[in-house]
Amino acid sequence: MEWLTIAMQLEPAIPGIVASLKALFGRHPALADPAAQQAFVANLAKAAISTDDATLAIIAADQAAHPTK
Amino acid sequence: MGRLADGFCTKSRVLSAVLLLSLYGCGASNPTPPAVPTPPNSPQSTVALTVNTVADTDQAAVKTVIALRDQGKLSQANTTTIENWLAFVATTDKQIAAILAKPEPWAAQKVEIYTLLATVTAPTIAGTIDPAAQVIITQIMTLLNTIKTQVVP
Repeated sequence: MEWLTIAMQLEPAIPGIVASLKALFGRHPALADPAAQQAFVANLAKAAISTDDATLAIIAADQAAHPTK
Repeated sequence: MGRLADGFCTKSRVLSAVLLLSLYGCGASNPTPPAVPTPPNSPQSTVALTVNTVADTDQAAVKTVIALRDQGKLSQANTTTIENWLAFVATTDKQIAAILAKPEPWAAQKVEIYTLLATVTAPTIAGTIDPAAQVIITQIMTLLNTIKTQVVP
């Protein structure tokens, strides 16, 4: 999802932009169309999976660097 | 000649008045159309938005926990406990996203997501932890409970 990717990159500089854009796109009139809804959900799911994978990688790297005694 | 000029002027005035009235009338007969109400999101869209927010919050939580540990505000043991829980949340969130992406009816997706969320509980932390770390856990639990209410059968 291109707009989300860009917004996530801008988030550190503009806190809250991701939430604002999600709220905006979440109410987009085009979503009245079932096919557009489906595409919207699929793109959000893809973005969430990508973020979750990155999170798991951060955790793995941190735990490798700081093993519990 | 004078009568002709007077007649021409009178006709011009009448024509101008008619033109002005018709212009005014055109404006009055075309009022601004009423605003089209925004359609509600589908239940899948609402859940997908929350799932994506969980993913963002979970990642921010991991970074915060690491920062707290590095600042000496969180023990390594508690950091590992919270990280393990955040990893479990990320894995569960991925599974929910995968369910949403499947070409299944919403009724079936709801049941799968609800069953999956039943396995998530807050982590057990040894002793007192930094308030910032506690806030993170509460925030994520609130988001997960929001999804739960969105898919409750």
